[in-house]
Amino acid sequence: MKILIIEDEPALASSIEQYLQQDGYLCEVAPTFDDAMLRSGAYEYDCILVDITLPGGSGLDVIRTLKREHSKAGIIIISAKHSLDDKIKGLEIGSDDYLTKPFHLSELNARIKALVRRKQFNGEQRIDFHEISVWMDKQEVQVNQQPLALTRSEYRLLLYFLANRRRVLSKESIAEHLAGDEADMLDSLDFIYSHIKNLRKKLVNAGAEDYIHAVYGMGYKFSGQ
Amino acid sequence: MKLLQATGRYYLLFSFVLFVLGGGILYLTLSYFIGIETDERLLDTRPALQFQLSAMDSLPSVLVISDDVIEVTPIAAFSEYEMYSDTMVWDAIEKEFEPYRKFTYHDQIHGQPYRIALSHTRLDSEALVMTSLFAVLGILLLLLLAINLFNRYLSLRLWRPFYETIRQIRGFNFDKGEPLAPPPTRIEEFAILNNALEMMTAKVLSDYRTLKQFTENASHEIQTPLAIIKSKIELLIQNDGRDENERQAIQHIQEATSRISKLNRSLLLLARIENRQYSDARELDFRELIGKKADQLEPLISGKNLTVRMELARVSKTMDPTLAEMLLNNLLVNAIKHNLHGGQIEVSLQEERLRIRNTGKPLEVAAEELFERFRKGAGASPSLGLGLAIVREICAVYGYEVRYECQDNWHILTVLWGGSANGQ
Repeated sequence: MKILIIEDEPALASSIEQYLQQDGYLCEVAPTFDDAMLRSGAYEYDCILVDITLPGGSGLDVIRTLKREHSKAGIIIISAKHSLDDKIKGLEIGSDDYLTKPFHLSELNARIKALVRRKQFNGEQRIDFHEISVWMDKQEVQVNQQPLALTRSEYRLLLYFLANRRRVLSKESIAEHLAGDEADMLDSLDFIYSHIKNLRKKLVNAGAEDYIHAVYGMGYKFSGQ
Repeated sequence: MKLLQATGRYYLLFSFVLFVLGGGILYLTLSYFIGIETDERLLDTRPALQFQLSAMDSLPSVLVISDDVIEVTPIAAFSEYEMYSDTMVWDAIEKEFEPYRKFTYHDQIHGQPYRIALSHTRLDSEALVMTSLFAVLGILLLLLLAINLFNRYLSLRLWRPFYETIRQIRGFNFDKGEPLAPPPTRIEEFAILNNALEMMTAKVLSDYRTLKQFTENASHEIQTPLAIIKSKIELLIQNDGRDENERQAIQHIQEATSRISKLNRSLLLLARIENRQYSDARELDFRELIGKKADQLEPLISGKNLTVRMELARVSKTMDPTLAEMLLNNLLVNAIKHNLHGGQIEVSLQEERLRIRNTGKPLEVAAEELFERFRKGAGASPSLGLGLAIVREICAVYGYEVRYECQDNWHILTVLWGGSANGQ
């Protein structure tokens, strides 16, 4: 899977690259507008991350060009501008998602996965992890072929974990993923404990292994070992 | 006192002085010249009288010829004596003393020296003086009055651009962002004033904008380094083979970064609200919006085991969608955040107001400080205390009133949509 990162901040671009590479993605970085136009015109990508403000031009123009050329790549805008207008404009000209800086890499990763899945396997969208299977289209979870009823929060939590397997997810990133980044629940991230606790209990009771591990002081990790 | 009144008063005072002075001078001048005229007439009568008296055989002591009274008194020796004087003479008909001008001189009739006193009534001349005086003063008075009135009218007309300028200064608003534009005027002084004001307001506005822009730009610029820090932290925590100290350090860095990030986002939001950058106006169904928001915050609500009751009427408001969302978000998050575990929230939306009630601990800050920036409860809460400040700012944009009350351990926040139901 190939991803183009159009981002002029080398440090941020390298973080994204590093994080995504660990998931087996092939990443390329385009730090300028011209570079972005050149690469996106010459190669096929599964997903393109676009920063709006670029040296030499606007990321929005890159998206317009891509759309004009009927590119099949999923497009996610990563912008420091937090405004509904920009978001709406971005989505209108054909981007698939919009993420405001600063964001969590785990959130970006989950969005990329969801987007690519939506684009490439429309219809059958199934995620398997050992004995756990998730049907995205029906929002159904099975453990050992037995359906498992989860609340919406638990379901989203499970998907988030599955998108970021073997990664340590910070509590903050989980909280923001569940409640949105405007929630400003800094003083109490406690609410995620009960959701994690419930999900864990339900999975284990249904016969799954306990994959959710607390990483002391850091967050949680969903992994087989 | 208006300038016009002040000048008017001075004009009147000046007119009065002029009037009195003019009257006096006129009276004195007229009296003086008429006096000289009378004296000359008396002197002119002398030869004729001499001739008349010489023609008489015997001289009477008093002789009255029309308005003139002549007294003839024989004297011992003749001299070149001549004297003018004012005197009063008894008028037997009017039964009163009347003013006379008396010319006394020595003359020789039939070779005999006599003192002759020739008196002429001054009633005529005084009447003349008074008539002239009143006539002239009347004209003067009319003139002054006319000038005053005309001046008043002229001032009103001429000062009109000035009052227009004042009206514009009063209506000047930073948030509108338009410098003053007084209508052009032919009066140079006003043109100078207007020009100075235009330049000043343009400068003030540009400074104001720069200042506001600075906050926004600064906040905006901070986003990128924050994004880098956050992403690096996230890469760092992937290595779980660290020792306790390192892990704790990373955790603290992470929390602090998170705080800066939220703080920055809130400040940016506040700056942009103040800069009136959220000026989209859309008809929003608040019932639907609240439902969506509550849905989005469901993980928080269920995580804290809260019970939410909603009574939502169909209410629409014309607002900027970002601000509407932020308003509801902050109100609801506030009700969740300061709630007790297993507590309750009641949301009631009506035509005239939105009310959010929640159970919770007693307030740690004074109720009136609740909406201040960075106002937060004591203790070590890392909360920013900007949530309600943002609520207040948004309400200010749309002229809504937001109120806090506490009743039986229920905290009640009410947003009254107020008269300006359709915002901006």
